[in-house]
Amino acid sequence: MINMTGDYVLYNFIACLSIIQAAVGYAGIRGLCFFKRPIFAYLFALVAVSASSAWFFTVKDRNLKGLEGTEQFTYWITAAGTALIATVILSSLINRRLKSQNPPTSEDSLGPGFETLKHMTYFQAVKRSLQKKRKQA
Amino acid sequence: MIADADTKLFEWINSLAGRNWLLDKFVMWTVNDYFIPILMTLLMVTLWFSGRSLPQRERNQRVFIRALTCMGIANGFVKISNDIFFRPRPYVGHAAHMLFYPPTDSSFPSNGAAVTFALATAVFISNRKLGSVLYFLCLVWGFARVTAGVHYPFDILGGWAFGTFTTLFVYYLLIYVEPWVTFIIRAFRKVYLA
Repeated sequence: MINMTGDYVLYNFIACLSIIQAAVGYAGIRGLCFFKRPIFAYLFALVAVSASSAWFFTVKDRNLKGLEGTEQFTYWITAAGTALIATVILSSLINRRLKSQNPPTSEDSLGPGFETLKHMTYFQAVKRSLQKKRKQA
Repeated sequence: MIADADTKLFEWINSLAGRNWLLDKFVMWTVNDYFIPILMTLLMVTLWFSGRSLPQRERNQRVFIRALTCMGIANGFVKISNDIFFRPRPYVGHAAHMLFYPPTDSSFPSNGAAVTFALATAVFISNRKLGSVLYFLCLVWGFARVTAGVHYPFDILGGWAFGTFTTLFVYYLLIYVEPWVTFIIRAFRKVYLA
């Protein structure tokens, strides 16, 4: 069962991480992208999802009694959450020069949430937000 | 009468198993608890992030949260139904051709069919393209479950009815659900995750 859980979490982690790349590439959220061009993000997603699926479904028989629905949901949340955290950390490191390359036209032009991440990385956005709060205080 | 029709239909669909190597492989690949559910969740993940403009993305994210709510409620309805009503699996009392392990919980309604159909219906209401893809995956999964001897066809139809009813119920109460959806999106937006 531990093996099954580990396999399930790893498979979902890889699949979620790569599918997030394809989605943020399409949406133009550059602060979360690992790649400069969306086409590379799509290819990465295609290869990673195909390879991880092939591994997960061929390495062992998955038609045996395995994880219950609630367990699946819990482990999926764990895997997807970890994939999101990994995306945030990796993209912030890869795109650390993004703000200087792609500055917003003005502070007011920055939209909320993901719109901000079109111009800066996640860490830069959090830093900016904390600085703003400190100034207001 | 209905039970007879259900059994006959089950026997006919289940008789397809073991005849064709390719069909058996396809069924064994799609019948399990992971392949189609994971595919559907991955499509849902893309819904959260995709959308090139803010309004488009917000619309997608609302659909995402509503669909998850419908899924959770459908799961609850099926659990309640299973406590009240128990239907043995087809392999109990029939010479079913099994391509999957024999589950022991109630056959009717199919939990998987209810949950995935609730999700697909919630998405279809706002996004016809993605909703159609999800409906197609529901059909494939339903077909595979019957062919593999896990469910009777009416278990799947019952699950679809449960799922559709749940989603329509949630959408009927949307005026009460929507403030929570807005709250969740705003909370995620504050931390740059929506």
